[in-house]
Amino acid sequence: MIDRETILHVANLARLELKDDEVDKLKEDLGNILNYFITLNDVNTDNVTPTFHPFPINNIFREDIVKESFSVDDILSNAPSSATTYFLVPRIVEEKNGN
Amino acid sequence: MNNNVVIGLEIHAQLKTNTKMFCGCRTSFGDKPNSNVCPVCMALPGSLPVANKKAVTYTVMSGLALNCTISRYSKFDRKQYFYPDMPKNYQISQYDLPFCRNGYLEFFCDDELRKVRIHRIHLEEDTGKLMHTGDIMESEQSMVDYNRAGTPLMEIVTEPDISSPKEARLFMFELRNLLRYLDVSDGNMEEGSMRCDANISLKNPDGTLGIKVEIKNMNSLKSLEKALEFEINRQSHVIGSGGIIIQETRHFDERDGTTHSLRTKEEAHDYRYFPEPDLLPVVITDEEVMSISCNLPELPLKKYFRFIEELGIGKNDASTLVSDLKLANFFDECVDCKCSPKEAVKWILGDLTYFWNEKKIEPDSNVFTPLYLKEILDLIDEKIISIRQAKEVVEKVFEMIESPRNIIEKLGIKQISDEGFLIDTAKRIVEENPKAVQDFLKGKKNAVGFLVGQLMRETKGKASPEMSNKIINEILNKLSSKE
Repeated sequence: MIDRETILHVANLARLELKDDEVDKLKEDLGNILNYFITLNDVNTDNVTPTFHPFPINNIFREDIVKESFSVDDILSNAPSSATTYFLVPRIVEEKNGN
Repeated sequence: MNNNVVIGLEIHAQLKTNTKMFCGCRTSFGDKPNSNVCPVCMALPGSLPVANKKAVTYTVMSGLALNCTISRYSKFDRKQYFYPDMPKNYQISQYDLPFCRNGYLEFFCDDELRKVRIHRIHLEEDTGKLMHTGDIMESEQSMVDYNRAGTPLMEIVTEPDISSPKEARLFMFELRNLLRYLDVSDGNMEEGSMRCDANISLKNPDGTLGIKVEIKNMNSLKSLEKALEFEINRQSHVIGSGGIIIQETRHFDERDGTTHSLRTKEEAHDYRYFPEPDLLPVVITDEEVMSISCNLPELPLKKYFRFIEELGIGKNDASTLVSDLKLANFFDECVDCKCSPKEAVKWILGDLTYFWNEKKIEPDSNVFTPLYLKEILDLIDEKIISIRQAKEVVEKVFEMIESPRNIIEKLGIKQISDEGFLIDTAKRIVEENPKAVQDFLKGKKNAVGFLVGQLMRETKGKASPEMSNKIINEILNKLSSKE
C-alpha cells in the first residue's frame, strides 16, 4: 500500500527521525489509513460539488483597523534564545527556495 | 533582439493596508524588530487568523485592472515548509482557487503596443526577515524579525510572453505604475515592497521550449534587465559549447551583474498544500465585482490615449506625464483650471519638474499649484510679463510660496508696455548708437537686434520684446525713408 521510501520521504518533510522499527509500524498504520480512504473512491461523486470547508459559512473578514500588538517582552518571553529584540535561531546557511 | 528568448515573471507586491493579512498588527516599515507581532503572527496555540477585507478588495481591484476573470469562489491554503521566516512552519497562500486568473497587461515597447498575459493573481502573507551578524559563514546564529511576517502579499504570475530583457523591464514599470494608480501598493523594489523573480529559457532550434532557469534577487528595474541579459548570454554560451542547461534557481549579484547557482536541495519541493481550515472560503458576488469595477480610477494606458487624442499632447510628453500619477494629476488639474494643455505641458515638464526635483518635493505638495500655473499663463497672455519674466516668477513661487500675482506686485516684475515711454527711450537709444543706424542703412539687418537688445537692457528686461521690436523697426524705417 505504501512503501518504505514514501514513509522516509514524508518523515523527512516533517523533520522526523525514525528508527527502523518505527518505519515498519508507520508503514502498516499509514497503509491502513490509506486503505480506509479507498472506500471513498467507491462513492459516486459525479454531481457533488467539492467541499473545501466543513462549515457552511463564507466571507468572514475583519476591517483594516490596527489593534495593539503584544509588547516585545511578551513576544520574546517564550523564545529559547533572543538578542536585543530579535529571535535567535541556529544559523541558516541554506537559501530558501520558493517564495 | 533574440527571438528565441522566453521570459515569464512572478511578481510579489505588498499591499498598502494598515494591518496585516490575518491580524490587526501594523504593517509599517522600519519599526523596532518584533514590535508589530501578536499571537496570530506567532501562531501561538489557540490563535485564529481572520482575513483582512481590504486586502481581498485590493487584489480584486488589481485583477480587474489587469483584465482578469475574478473567481466567484476562492479559498486559502496552507503551504508547508521548514524555514524560520515563518513561526507557523507554513505560509497561508492560495493554491488552486486564486482570486484572479487569465488577464493581460498592455504597454508600449519600442513604440509598439505589447500584450503580456497574466496567468493568475493570488493573495498570501509575507514572511519574516532573517539577518546575520557579521559573516554568514562564521556567525553561529541568525536573527529573526517577524514584523513583516503576515503582511498582505499579492503574487502576480505572467504567462511566458516576454521576449527580451527590455520588454521585461517595461512590463514591470507598467505594472508598478498600474498598482500605484490603484493605490494598492507602493511598488518600491529597492525597499522590497515589490519583488520580482524571472523564469527564462531559450527556445531549441526546432522551436520547442528549452529548460527554464529561475532568477531571484533583482532589486530594481535595472537589475531585472541586467540579470536577464547576463542569463541569455550565459545560456547561449552553454548551449553553443555543446552543454546542457540545468533547471535550477540562480541568484543575481548586484555587485558584478552576474547570476550564480543556489545550492539546489536534494529533495524536490513538496509543499503539501491543503485548504486552510482556520479560514473560511471567500465568495465574491457579481454585484461586488461590478461595484469594484465601477470604482476603478482611470488607468495609465487610458489616460495616455486621452491626453493624446482629447488634449492634443505629443506621445512622448503624454508618456512622461502618465508615468507618474502625481504629474498626470497635476496636468489634469491645470486643464481643469482652463490652462491650455499644450502650454501647461511645456511648463510642467520643463521649469516645474526642474524645481520639484531640485527642492525634492512632489507635484501634489501644494507649493506650486495648478492655479498658479493658470495665473502665470494669464499674465503672459495679458502681456504683463514676458516668458523670461515668467520663468523668474516660477522660481520665486518655489522660494516665497506665494501666488505669481503677489510676487510680481512685491518684486515689481512687470513688462513695460507703456508705448510712449518705450518710444522715447528707443529714440534716445537710436541717437546714442549712430554706428548701428549706419549699419542698418547699409542693409545689415542684425543691427535691429542690437538696438532691441539695448532697449531691453535699458529697461532691465521689462520691456515687452514684441513691442520693443516693433518700435525700433518703425524708427529705423522712418530714418531709411528719409535717406
